[in-house]
Amino acid sequence: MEEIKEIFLKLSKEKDVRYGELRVEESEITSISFRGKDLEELSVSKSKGGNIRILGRYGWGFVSFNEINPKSIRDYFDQAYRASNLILGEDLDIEYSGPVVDRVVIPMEKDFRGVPLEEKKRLLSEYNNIMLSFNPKIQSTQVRYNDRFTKRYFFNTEGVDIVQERGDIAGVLVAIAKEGDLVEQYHFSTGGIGGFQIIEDLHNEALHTAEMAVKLLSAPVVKGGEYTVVLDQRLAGVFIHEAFGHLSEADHVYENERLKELMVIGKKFGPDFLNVVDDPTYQGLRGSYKYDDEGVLAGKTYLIKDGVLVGRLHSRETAKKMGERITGNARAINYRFQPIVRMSNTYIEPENYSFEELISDIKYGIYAVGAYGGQTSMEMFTFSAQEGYIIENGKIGDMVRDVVLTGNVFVTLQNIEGIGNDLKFSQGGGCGKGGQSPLPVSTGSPHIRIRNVVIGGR
Amino acid sequence: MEELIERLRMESIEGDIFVRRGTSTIVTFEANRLKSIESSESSGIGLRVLIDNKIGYASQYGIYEPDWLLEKAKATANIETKMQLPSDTAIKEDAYDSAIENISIEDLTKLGKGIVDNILSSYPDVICNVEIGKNHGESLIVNTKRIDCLRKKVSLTVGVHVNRIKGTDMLDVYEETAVKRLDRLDIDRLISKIIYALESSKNIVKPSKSRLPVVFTPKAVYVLLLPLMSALSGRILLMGASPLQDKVGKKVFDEKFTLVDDPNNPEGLSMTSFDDEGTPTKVLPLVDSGIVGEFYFDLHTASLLGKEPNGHGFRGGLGQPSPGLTNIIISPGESSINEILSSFDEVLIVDQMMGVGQGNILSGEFSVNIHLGFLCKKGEIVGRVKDSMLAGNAYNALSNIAGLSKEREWIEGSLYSPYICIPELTVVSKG
Repeated sequence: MEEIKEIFLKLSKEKDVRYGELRVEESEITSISFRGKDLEELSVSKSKGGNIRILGRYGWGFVSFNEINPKSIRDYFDQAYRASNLILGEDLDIEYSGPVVDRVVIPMEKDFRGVPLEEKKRLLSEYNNIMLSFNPKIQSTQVRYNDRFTKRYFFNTEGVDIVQERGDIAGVLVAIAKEGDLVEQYHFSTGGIGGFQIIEDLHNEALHTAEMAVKLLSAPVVKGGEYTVVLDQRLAGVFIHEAFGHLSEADHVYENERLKELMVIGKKFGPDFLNVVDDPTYQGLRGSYKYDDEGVLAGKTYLIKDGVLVGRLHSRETAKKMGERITGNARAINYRFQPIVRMSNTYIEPENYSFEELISDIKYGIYAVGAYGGQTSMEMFTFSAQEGYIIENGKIGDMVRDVVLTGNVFVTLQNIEGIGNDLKFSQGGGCGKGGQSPLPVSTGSPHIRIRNVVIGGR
Repeated sequence: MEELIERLRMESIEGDIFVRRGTSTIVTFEANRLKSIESSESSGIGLRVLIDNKIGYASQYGIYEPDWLLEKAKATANIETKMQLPSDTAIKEDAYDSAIENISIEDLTKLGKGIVDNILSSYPDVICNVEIGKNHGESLIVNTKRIDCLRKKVSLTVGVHVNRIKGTDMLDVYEETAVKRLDRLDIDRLISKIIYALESSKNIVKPSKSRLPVVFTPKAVYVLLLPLMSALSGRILLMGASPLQDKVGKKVFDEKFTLVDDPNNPEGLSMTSFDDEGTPTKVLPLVDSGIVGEFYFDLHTASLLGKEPNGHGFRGGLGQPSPGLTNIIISPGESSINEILSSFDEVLIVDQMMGVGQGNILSGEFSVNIHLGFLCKKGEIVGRVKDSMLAGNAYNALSNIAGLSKEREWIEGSLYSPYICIPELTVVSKG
């Protein structure tokens, strides 16, 4: 690696490159999955690749590759350098962060690389059997697991020399229930960077997943309309990620004058008690890291404080262009991609209400629980619950299914009526943006209550 | 490769090797100007072994260590199967197009600049993001039973995203095209679709009622197709979770609805005579005049179900084969889209949605935000519909189709679809 790095730095110097990066990534992945009673996949893979990114006067040249040796690095450098010089237009500058030499190893309590395949398989088959044997209505199941150990080398022309090692683990349980022609499914997902123990005790979750799939069979489809809703922590986390998180990514804003006006720092976005944070330095979460993929030291960023827009997430380029503090949020899912502005661990800070207080004075509303996913177009967003319950006169009532919620960022955040005291993070999430998916992120929130939310339905 | 096959033979292990290589060049315009030029080279190999009717699999990107591959593939051989590898076929496919081959980076940037300038000349207040990619891909499948199939592909993809903001109202229009021959590239058509969408979005309107006829543009048809594509997969069938499992040969959909997976279609990006396991591909009538036709399989899934393989084992990256589709073709109707639209007092046109695939796909239920939709009265577009949810069930919708247009469009080079009109669906709007 030293030799490759030296060649890259020497060439950069010779060509008088303003800013350049070399990244090399090595990873090893184990994937195991069950589908129904059958083991569907058991495989291992290994990969090594890298990229070079060079800033020309007006734009970026970028090359990604698998072949890494002294000769190929010279060729790839030339390609990236030539590409960076083909771009003409307006001057482009970036924020510099200064030299850093660091080795970061995120410790695993129980290193999954030391766990035999047989043991991983046995554990997953336990969860699978719990779901399969729960009830005759359980038609099938899926259990998916993968672990990935990654070592990332990052060098740049300002003297950044970082090696980061981490082990990501992800697990998904799915139960599928069937009655007549009706098929319903329920899933549970988890993950993290702390080691194999994260997925060692999911027996209760497996049972719950199967139970909920069966219950959904007899739940009616929610009736479409406008409701006061209470979101559980998982769904509220997805809500803040979609409804506001993406809009605070500076790459959407920095070259869009009109959006800049809408997203001006100091603008009131929500009630006084709303505080939203993105924090890669929060320990032990899926979206945690020390340095981003531009070699910038990451930090905690308040996006909304007391209801007011106070910050946004930046890369080197967007921070410079907007004259704001660089936050260390430039991330790439792997060496094939250029880093772009992404969230890490995004959450709503807790307030005072208990769950009972939040629902106590709702005459008729929906309690929406769990998350299938979400999407945003900046202004509008959707997010879907795994299950819903009617709230009637302050009490949780019957279950409903197919609860998909939608909102408009300029309206919905203002409509938050209450925030609970029970902050919880979800660890199963993957975020997609610009063709890069899934990026490990975490979302968090207490229970929250919002009025006038549109729920789709027949 | 030969060496690895030889070693399998020496150890009397059956198996196959899949090699994927690719290069691409992408030029990206951000906020109306060229922002980055990107190229990539990739190569990887996957080894599957069959030991005592058990599958094992290992793969490597960017490294090639035959010992490691063999050792790991053997160590993971746990998946019980009845599959047999295909044998004795050597095919070379090369979808070479010299015109695409000869496009330089300068040509790509010129093409992108042309698109941006063209749109800005009509709409100076919008922001255009354009991504143009030139891609080469190579897939090689070799096995111990003398399969030796090579597929080379080339394509050019153009994606354009236009954003317009007025007050707090945001409008996003997205169009793409993907071709494997340069003479098929129709940039004027792509631009005219974007201009038409911008033109049609001048006013924001609301439907007068919550249940009304809905036209899905070819781009929007996926929301109706996803449940079917999933239900017809051998994997879902194997799980017993397919709502269509007992429906083969039965009429489930409107008789106007015919859906075929056609690996032979010369326009489609997925044209191929063999799948990623070396099995010859077959044209599959998925739905024929409303009657459920065939499911699609890879070798392993077919063997577990006791079915004949039908050449639909495909791989994502270097993953193991799984049931996959190629070129998905929906038969056209007899009326033009304008005739269909004119036949209603009020009809909603849906073009872009958010939340597709977010819910329970198997049940066919969908509930999506109308990201880009228009209201059409007596054949005239009166404005854009937003802040609304459209909900329904794909099975119900496709069992009662008001009409399909005679015009069809290619979506991402892999779906060829008409406009589809459903007589009534539910729209919930804000306030």
